[in-house]
Amino acid sequence: MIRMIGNRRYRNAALQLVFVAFIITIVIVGVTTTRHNLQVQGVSMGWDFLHYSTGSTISFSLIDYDINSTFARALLVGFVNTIFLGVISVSLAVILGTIIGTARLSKHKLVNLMGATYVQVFRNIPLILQAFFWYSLIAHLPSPRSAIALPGSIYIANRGISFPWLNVEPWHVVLAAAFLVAGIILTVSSLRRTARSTALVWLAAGLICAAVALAMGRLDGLPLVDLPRAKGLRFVGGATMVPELSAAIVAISLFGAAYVAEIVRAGFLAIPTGLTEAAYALGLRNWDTFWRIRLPLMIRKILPTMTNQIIWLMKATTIGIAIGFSDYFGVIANSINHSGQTLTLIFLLIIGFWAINMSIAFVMNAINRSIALPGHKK
Amino acid sequence: MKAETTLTDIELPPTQQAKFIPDLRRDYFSTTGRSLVTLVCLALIAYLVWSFIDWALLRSVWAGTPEDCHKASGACWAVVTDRYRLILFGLYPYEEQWRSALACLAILATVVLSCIPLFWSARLLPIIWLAGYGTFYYLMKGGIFGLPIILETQWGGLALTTFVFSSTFVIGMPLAIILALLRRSKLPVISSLTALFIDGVRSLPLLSILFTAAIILPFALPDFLVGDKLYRVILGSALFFAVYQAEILRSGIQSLPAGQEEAAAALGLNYWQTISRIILPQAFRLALPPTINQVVIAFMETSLIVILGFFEVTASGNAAFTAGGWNSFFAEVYFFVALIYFTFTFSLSRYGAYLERSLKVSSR
Repeated sequence: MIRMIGNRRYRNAALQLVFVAFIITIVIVGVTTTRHNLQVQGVSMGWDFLHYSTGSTISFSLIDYDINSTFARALLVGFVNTIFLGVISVSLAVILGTIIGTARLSKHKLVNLMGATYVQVFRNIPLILQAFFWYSLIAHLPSPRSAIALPGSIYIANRGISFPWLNVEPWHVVLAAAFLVAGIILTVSSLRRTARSTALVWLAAGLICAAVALAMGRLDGLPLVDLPRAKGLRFVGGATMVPELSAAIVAISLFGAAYVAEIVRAGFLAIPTGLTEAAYALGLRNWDTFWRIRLPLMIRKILPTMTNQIIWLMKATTIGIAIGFSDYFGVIANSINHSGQTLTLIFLLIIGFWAINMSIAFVMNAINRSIALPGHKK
Repeated sequence: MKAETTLTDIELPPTQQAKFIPDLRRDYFSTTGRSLVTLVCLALIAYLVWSFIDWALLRSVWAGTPEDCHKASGACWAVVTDRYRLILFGLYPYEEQWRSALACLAILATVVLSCIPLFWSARLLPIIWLAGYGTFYYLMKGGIFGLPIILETQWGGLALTTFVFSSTFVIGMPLAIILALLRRSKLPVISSLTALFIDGVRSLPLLSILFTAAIILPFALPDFLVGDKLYRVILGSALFFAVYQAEILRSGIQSLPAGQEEAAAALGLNYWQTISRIILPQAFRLALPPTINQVVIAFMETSLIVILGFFEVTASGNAAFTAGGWNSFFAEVYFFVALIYFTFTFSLSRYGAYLERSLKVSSR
C-alpha cells in the first residue's frame, strides 16, 4: 500500500480519479437537487414546454410574434434579435474603430489628440452606464410632432429613429443585401489578381442581382420607397428603430469602436518601418502606401485579436436587457420566469452563445486563411 | 547674392533649431489639405470645449430645486449636490455614512499600495489585500467595538460597487492561480477538464453567469449552501474574473524560459517551492500589464449587477434623478457617476501602460 502511494504512476492515476469523481459528484448533486426542487414546484423537465404559448409580449421582433406564439418561437425571436443587434453594432464599431485607430497614428497632433480622447472616454466608462445614458437621451428627445429632421427623410424622436424603407417583401430585401455583399467581396478579392475593369464586372453583377431581387419582391400598388410621416404621437410609413434598439446600437458601437481603435493602432505599429520606407523608396505616394501596403498588412496582423474582440462584443449585446431590448439572453431569462424550465433553458443559452462564438471564429479563420500571404508566418 | 558661404549660412541640424513658427507651419499648414484638417479640427475642438464649458459652468445651477434648474438652460449640478450621498452610499443609514466613506478609502489605499513595486512580494500582497478587505468589511458591517451592525441589504451606491469589486478580486485571484496551475498540470485528465471548464465559461456572457448565480443556483444547491444572493453573485463574478485571469497567468508562465523550471528541479526544489518561488513571481511580473487591464474591466463590469436588482452606483444614480422632479437631469447624474468610474479606470490603465513601457525597457 505504501509502495503504491510512493509510486508516481499510481499516485497520478489516483489523483485524476479523485478529480473526476469530485466533478461528477458536483454535477450529480446539482442536477438531482434541481430536479427535486422543480418537482416540488410541479414543473417536469423536458422539451414539451417549447410548444406551449408564452403569453407574454416582446418589444421588438423581426419575425412574426404575438402573445399566443410558442416558447420556441420566442427563443427564435431573441436569437434573431441578438444576431441583428450584434451584426449592426459590430460592423459600425469596426468601421468607426478603424477610422479612429488610423487617426491615432496621424502625425497631425490635433487629429491624434481627438482620437486619443475618444478612446479614453468611451473605454473607461462602463458600457451599461453608456447604454442608460443613450436610452435616457432618446427618451427625452422631442415627440414625433417636433422630431429632429435629418436630410433624407430621417427623423429622430423619443419614439426612436424613423427612416425611409422599401415597400418590398422582407425576404427579398435580405436576398438583395446578400447579393450586394457577395458582389463587394468578390470585387475586392479579385482586385488583387485581375485588372480593375474585370473586377468591376463582379460589382455590376451584384448590383443587378440585388435590383432584380428587389423588383421581384415589390408589393403591389405601392411606391418603391416608403417615407416616414409624423401622425399624431408616432410615425407611420418607412421603418422605425425602437428606442431600445437605437440606444443599444449607439452604445455598443461607440464603446466597441474604442477597443477596435486600439487594436487597429497596435496593428499599424507592428508593421516593420522598413516596409513603409521601401514603399516610399519605390515612389509610392502617401495614399498608395496606406491603401496598398499598410492597410492590408495591418488587417493580416490584427485578425486573431479582432476575432476575440468581435466575440466579446457579441456577448456584450446582452446588456440590451438593461434597457428593455429582448435579445436571446433576455428571452431566456423571461422564459425561465414563465415556464420554470431552468436547466433546459440554461442549456439552450449555452448552446446559443457557443454557436455564435463558433461561427464568428469559423468565418474569421476562413478570412485569415484566404488572405494569408504565402510564405509568411501569421 | 553672395557666392561664398560663411559659417553662419550653414544650416544647423534640426534639433538645435528651436523655431516655433516654422515647425508649426510645417506640421499643420504645409499643404492645403493639411491646413484644412487643422482648421476643421480646431473649429471642432473649440466648439466642443466651448459648448461643454458653457453648459457645465457658465449656465449651470449648483444648488436649489428642480424649478431653479428648469429656469436655467445649463447643467443642473444641483441634482448632484442634493443627492450625492444617495449616489455614493445608497440607503446606508445617514448618520453612519462616514463608515462607508472610510471603507471605500481603505480599498482605494489597498489598490494604491499594491501598485507600488516595494510591496510586490508573495507574502506582502496577500497581507495588504486581506487587511484592506477586512477593514472594509468591518467598517461596513460593524457589530463589534461599538459600531452598530448594518446588514448587506442596506449597503449601496459606490460602497456596494467597491465591495463587489474587491470581493471579486480577493476571491478571483487565488482561484485564477489554482485554475492556471490545474490547466498546466502534467496529468492529462485534470488539464483537459480544466481547459474545457475555462473555455466554456469564457464563451458565455458575464451577465448570464451572474444571472445563473443569482436566480438559478438556489434551485441547484442543497439548502444549506444557498447563502445570500449578493454572495452568490460575487462568486459568479469572481469565477468569471478567475477564468480570464487564469489565461493571462498561463500565458505569463508559458513565456518563461524552460530553463527556469529545470534549474529549480536541478536545485532539488519540490513542486510547491518551484511554483511559489520561481514560476509565479516571474509569471506575475510578465503578466502585470494585462492583469491591470483585466482588473479595470472587472471594476467596470461590476455595474452589470444593476440588472439583477442590486443598488450599486449606477442604480443609485438612476434613483437619484427618477424621484423628486429631477427627471430631466439624467445627464448630470450620469456624468457624475461616469466621472467616478473614469477617474479610477483611467488612472489605473495609465499606470498599466507606464508599467508595460518600463517592463519592456528593463527586460531589454
